[in-house]
Amino acid sequence: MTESVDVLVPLAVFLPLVVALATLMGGTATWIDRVGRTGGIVAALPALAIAAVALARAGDPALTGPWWRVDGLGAVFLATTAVVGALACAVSPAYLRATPTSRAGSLTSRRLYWSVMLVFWAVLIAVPLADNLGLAWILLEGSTAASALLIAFSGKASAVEAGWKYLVLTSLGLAFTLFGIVILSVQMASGPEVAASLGWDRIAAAAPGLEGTAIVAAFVLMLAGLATKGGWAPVHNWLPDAHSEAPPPVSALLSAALLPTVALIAWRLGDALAPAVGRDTVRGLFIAFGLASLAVAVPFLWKALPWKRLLAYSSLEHMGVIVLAIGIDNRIATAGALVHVAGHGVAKSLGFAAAVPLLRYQPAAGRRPPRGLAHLSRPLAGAVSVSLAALAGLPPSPLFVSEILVLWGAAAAGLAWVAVVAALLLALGFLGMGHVLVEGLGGRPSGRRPSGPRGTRLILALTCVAVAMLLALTAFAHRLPDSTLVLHLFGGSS
Amino acid sequence: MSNVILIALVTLGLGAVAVRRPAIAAVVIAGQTLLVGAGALGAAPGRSTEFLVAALLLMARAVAVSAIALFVVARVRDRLPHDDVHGPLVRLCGALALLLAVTALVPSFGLESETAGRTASALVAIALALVLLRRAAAYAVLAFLVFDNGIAVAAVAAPGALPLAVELGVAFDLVLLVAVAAVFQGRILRAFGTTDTAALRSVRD
Repeated sequence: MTESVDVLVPLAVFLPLVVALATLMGGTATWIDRVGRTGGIVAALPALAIAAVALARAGDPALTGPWWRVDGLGAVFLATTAVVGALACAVSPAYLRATPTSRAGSLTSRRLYWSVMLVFWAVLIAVPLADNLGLAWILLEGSTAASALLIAFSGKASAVEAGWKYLVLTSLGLAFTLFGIVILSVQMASGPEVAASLGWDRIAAAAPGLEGTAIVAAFVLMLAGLATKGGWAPVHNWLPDAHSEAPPPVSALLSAALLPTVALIAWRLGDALAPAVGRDTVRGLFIAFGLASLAVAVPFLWKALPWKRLLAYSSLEHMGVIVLAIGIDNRIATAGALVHVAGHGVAKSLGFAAAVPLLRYQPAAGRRPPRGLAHLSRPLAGAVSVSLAALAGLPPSPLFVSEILVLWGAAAAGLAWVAVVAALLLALGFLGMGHVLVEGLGGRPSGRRPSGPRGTRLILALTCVAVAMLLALTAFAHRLPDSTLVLHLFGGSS
Repeated sequence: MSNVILIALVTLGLGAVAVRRPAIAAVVIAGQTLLVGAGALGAAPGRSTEFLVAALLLMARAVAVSAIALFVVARVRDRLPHDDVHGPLVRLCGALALLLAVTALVPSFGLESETAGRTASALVAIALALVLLRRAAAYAVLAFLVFDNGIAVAAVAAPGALPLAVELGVAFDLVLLVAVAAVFQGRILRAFGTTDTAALRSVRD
């Protein structure tokens, strides 16, 4: 099994890069789209295989290589990133066809879009595999450069502004993280464990010997920087604009793959440094970021927002849930976090995929909330309904189960006030999203109806796939707190 | 790095906050970046081979990012200079106040030289001042460089702290980031007719 992982890990990262190169060589728009879509879906397979191996041996120690580690925790994020990326590749041709450009411009912009998006995805696949804080930082910073270009892809003034804001804020945030990494390195070099690397195990081994204000300052700097990149309130200013201006498949990657991946790095960091910084300090910081994100997001879920902007604020809400669960730090909340990452990935990808036909048939939905979808197109209404209902946490959504697990975990950890505040905010968020759903399905439709089933065939197929995935997750979710995967994360104890 | 170099680095940073034209600020920060590289090379004799390689890397990175920053400022020119809200003296005082606050707040983190630690914190503060007090988008790019120079000062004063592979990756990322920021400068000018960040903010008003 180890031998197969040795081959699969480089394959998982390099296959999207190979497809990116292939799209650069395409001579026609159709050829480029076909290579990008088919190649992208195939490129997800090695990452999914690695995740399957890791989950199958979740109770065993992590498999490690020169720069990578394959463990159960990373596997959930890796599988989510692979699925979200594959769905983004499946939807991208429809988005590009609906984006009018000249013939020459179409080829150049297609090559740019596919190559940069696939590089971005390859970097995101590498992050959960990175067995080193320094490498994880390099990958996250590299993802900033690629994704900023994608956010500004349309060339509209508002998109350029969103891309620039994202580039400046997240780069400055990650610069703070790097400053914290340097301080951590200095502390490790002067501590009992002389560090030749910033490997997760090395940091964890050195942590009990580190103490003092410098290590706390390093952790706060690193976490604040990661919070900026991960779009956690109150340092989330780039998130709503970037998500609403980026092409929908890129928005899906940003929301459902990048944000959870940053949370994973913060999670690993908090786990490794808890003995040095103090477990209560680590928990307190995560819980504060989680509740702040929920509190900031919920009022916007009640507002009449354009579709993609609504999904952006929903991302802020769901990052709040995940970060809160990390802070609660027991096996029930951890199970909730893992289900939430996967469920949010599927539901949010479907939501952004639905944005492609929605903006095509009802262009006004780019400026104001969608209306009359039930009359406009049933497959489109179905996709929007499934996505919103799942994101709102309507049973049998896996996000309903995960949110219950997180609240239960908070109560079990003796954090009753956290459970009460989070429950209240989640209930308000649920009502807000439900209200948006009812309003969006009803009312008088604007725009034009699809001329035949061809225009909505893809979204119908994606909705069926998403429903199957969400139901499978729900069926599995309640067993997760007692699973080997979660028990292993807590050293085999309950 | 000697105290003279460290003081020169902070002075150059404050100079970039005060000067009016982005082109001059870019030259000043390019000088600061090259000085960090030179300082690292100057500290190399008697140290390990890995340190020498890291110092050479720092110098190569300094040359690359300085060239890109100067190219951007030369190529992307606004027709009218931006009216910064605050005058040079107010900007300088603001930057100094931020510098003093940050250096007082950041604890000593165990570098060989206490002055190097304070210089690193001071350069971080100056980077923040550049973003907060200047309106041309080019200053955000210069702020990355100043921030990174601060981190480089800390890394040079703690030999062996950062693995060489990480230094290499950080250098690559910085060059990539400055190159992407350069692309954005051109796009901002095309879309807005100016690189004044106040015009960018007006999109959301």
